[in-house]
Amino acid sequence: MPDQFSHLSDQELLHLYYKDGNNFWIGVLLERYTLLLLGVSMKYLKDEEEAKDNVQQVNLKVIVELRKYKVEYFKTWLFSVVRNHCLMRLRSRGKTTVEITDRLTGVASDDSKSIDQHLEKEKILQEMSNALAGLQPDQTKCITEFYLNKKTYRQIADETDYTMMQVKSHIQNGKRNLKTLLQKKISHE
Amino acid sequence: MNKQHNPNNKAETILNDKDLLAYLENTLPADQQYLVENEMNDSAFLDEAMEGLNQIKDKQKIPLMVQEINYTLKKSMKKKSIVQLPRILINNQLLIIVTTIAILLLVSMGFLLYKMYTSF
Repeated sequence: MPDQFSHLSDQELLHLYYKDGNNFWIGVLLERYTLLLLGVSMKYLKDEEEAKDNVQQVNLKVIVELRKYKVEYFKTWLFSVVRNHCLMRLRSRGKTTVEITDRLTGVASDDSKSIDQHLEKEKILQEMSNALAGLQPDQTKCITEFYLNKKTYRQIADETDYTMMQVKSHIQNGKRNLKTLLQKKISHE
Repeated sequence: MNKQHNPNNKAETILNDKDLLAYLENTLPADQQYLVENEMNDSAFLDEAMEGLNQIKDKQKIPLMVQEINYTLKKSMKKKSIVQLPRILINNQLLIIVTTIAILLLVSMGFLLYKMYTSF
């Protein structure tokens, strides 16, 4: 479907659907996310055919659920639908060992900026350099290179002994630790 | 980077499937790679998706898989709309048929009863 609707945002498409009840709009929306749905399904299910099947099931589920509920933020909602569907499949398969992350426990939402929104920007910037020093050296190195020097994972990996996965992990863990450090400092003040 | 549609960013300014696939195949220039990674750091959806897509060994297969899923989606949408639209009509028709049969049964029963009484 439809590059012709690329000018419409997700919310506008949802609005059109809720207005006339035409599933066509859900189709347009879902096609936007097929690649991401396939990726998330692959991450959890580790099988291409099963991942494809999972996306198709999620698509059908979305069509049914959107009729029942009024969804405000489609992308965030869709992410939780696909992830829950994958976990359900894993449970029914008897494989329950899934890596526990902040995301699964609901600590971080899709856009993990939500905590930052409650912090004042200037304060964060002031405290940032102090907090950076409080991180593990590899996290400090990766965060500095990525956010301040705008280097890609590959570039950082090339300059250091880390693999790309390690770089990514140092950035993500460092970011989380940085948030915790900043929150602690601000709550002490 | 194509700026037409971006489901992966609230501001809807960057990243489309083509760019993401190019990133997976390591054919994006460094500045655009950085944009994808920056977005991955902000969006768990994109991050998990990229991690999963990376597990597909033959990256060339990905667009075909997406196409196949979209094709099935379209097909199921068509079926649904065909089923959905005439549902009211079908329900109304059914009501008319049942009512007609009930009336016919009542009339014929009445006729039979009348015949029975008049014959005695």
